[in-house]
Amino acid sequence: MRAAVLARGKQAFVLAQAQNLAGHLDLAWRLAVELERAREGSITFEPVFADDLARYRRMAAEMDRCLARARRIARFADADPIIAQVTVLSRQRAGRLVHDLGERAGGHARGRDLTGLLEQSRGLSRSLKDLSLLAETTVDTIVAESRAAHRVTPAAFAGRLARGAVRVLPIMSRARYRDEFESELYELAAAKASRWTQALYGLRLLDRAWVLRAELRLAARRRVRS
Amino acid sequence: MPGPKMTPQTQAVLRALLERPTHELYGLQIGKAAGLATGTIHPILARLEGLGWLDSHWEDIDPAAEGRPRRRYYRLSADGAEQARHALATARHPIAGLLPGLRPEGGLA
Repeated sequence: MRAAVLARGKQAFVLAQAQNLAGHLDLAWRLAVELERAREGSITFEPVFADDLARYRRMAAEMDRCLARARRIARFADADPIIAQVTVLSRQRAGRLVHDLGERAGGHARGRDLTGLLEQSRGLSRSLKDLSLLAETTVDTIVAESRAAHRVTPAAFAGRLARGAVRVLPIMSRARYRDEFESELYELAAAKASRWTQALYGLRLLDRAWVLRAELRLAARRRVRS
Repeated sequence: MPGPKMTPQTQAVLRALLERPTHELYGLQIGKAAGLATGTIHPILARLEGLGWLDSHWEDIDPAAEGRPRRRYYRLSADGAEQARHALATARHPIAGLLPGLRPEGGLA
């Protein structure tokens, strides 16, 4: 019960952070719009300004990549509220920002009134830097919370049985089957198999370990002969 | 090289793999498709792999990023698929109803 309350509290914290990020993106978006308006008065091409815009694009792309990663992990963890939030953030805001800033870079190359634009661009740069850091923090929190909320822990007893089965096998094959059994036990636990079902899996592995050992030795002898 | 002993379990595994010969399956999926209990399938897979009928490889993921261990995937080799079809065609049919999904074609439901 206490764990469930804590999990809800943590999820609320993650969503609050995501909303905070959305607020920062709104601010950046408004600055970008102002930048667009200021473009009307500009007259000369300035490489420094083009560099600034290129930097925004990189930061926005990095942010988009982080959000996409969070979306993948959230989807894997089946965390619907987080998926919805992250999707909104990345698709409707970061994605749009990346696209439009890219177009603006070309537009400003033909721009005028460079002083005003550079001033605005510095503000946007700071804002984007802040929200990029915030995006990283939010993504890390989302990832950590999704994993914690959906952590799969196979039954310890089944794990011991599987490791016992591995010890029966030829040394050369142990690493492979240790990983393979561990993976399958994880899949069983992830599919919400009961501890009893997992223990049965471990018992069957142990029961068949000697047959598997014989098969592996036979295969090794075949390889030597051929 | 002589083929594997065609036990009902081996036949079930081969039939499961032949249903989609180009698809890759991991151990639990094969066991489920073959109607065999979890944890009983590895000796059969090792035998078929030792004969060259099966290819296997680790899933190409970063376990830390995905948050789960890699799976070991199995698939019939091109030669293995051919040999498996032939072996199943010539194998004695198991008793109908002995194992799910192993009834000979046209057998009783």
